[in-house]
Amino acid sequence: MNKKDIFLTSAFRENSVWKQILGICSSLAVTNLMLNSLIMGLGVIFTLICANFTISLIRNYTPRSVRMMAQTLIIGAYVIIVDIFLRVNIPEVSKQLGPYVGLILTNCILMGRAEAFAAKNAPVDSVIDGLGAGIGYTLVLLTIASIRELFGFGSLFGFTLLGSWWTRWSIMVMAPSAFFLLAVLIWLINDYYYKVKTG
Amino acid sequence: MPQNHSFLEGRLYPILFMLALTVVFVGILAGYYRSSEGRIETNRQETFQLQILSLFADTLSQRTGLPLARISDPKNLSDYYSLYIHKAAANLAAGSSISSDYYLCLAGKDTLGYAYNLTGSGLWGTMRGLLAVTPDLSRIINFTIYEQMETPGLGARVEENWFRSQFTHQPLLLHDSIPQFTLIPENAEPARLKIRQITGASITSGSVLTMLRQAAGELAILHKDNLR
Repeated sequence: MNKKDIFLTSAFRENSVWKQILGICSSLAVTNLMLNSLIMGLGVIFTLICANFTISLIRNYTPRSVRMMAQTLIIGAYVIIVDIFLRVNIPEVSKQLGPYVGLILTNCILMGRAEAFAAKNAPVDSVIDGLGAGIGYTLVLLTIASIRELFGFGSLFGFTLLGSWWTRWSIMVMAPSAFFLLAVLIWLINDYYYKVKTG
Repeated sequence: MPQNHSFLEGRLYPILFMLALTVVFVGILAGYYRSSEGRIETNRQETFQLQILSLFADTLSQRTGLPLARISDPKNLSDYYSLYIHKAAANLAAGSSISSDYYLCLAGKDTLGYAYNLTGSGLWGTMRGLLAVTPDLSRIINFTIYEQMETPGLGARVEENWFRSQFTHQPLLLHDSIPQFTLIPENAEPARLKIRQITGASITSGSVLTMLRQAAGELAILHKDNLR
């Protein structure tokens, strides 16, 4: 596979959320505001790129018996780096995201890409795969967040779009709406891909 | 069965590998944290001081004639904080929800109000807030939650301006009676002693009221013993 294919496969064709149903927990948790989703997405992109690169770099020296422990340690270290970076440079955002930064560690996409790709491929390809997976994940977060924030708060990225005449849909602010929206998104995209495939 | 493991799959290598990996990453994290520790603490302190100053921004602006934006501007924080805010210590019982350190807002010789540091329980963990009150403790000047572990986008909205501004000018201790705040829906009209709750976060909203009631009770005792 060439580099473009690696990126497109990781970001869209085999998107972690809508194709592999990974990272669902955080997709449900942070998507009621677009800013939170964007920051979470950027955190995951950074962690995926760095973790994939490191795991790929040491893949030939990593014993099979401890490889998952090593991957968890590497991912955990990069998550802590993201957390410290936010606390130093953007303390307001760090405060807003609170416990979710630490929860990047529990995102299945990170372990999924480490195990499925980085542990078997060259560092540059692994970085591209991590970037693609991260962007694909962030796009899903932002898509769901845009609907939830718009209908739930009448705003996008905190900027009010729907005035006081708009009756806020409380369900959109709460977790169940993320379930419904994610299910609809997965359904629509898979249906589209199925139609493309069967031509 | 013949033992045909390579060194990489032997018993010692994985242990050495994990040990080395742990040392490297813990070293990197320790170094990064140590180099950032000072900045993190400064950020925390500045945010805290700005929160206290912001609580009294309106009152100070009315009293001194300084523009509101100038008082709340982080660039002027150190000047105005040292000029108007003074730290003091109260004699509080152990286990109190109010910190013994409290803050006086002084304009010349006049006390404009007090700010107390409160602690309470939220849905997921401890919440810390600042309550600014008039010198006779009869009215809330301002209130804010500055530290919490609530759900982002739900309970964490206790820090939003619309929620905290509802407490401004609400009664606190009238004839030593503790205010009975009640929650109303988020889209309802605000009223005296009625607090609009956060949709989807009724436990957090209720926790804030519990925190305030508890603080009011403790301030009533403190008021009796120390302030009169």
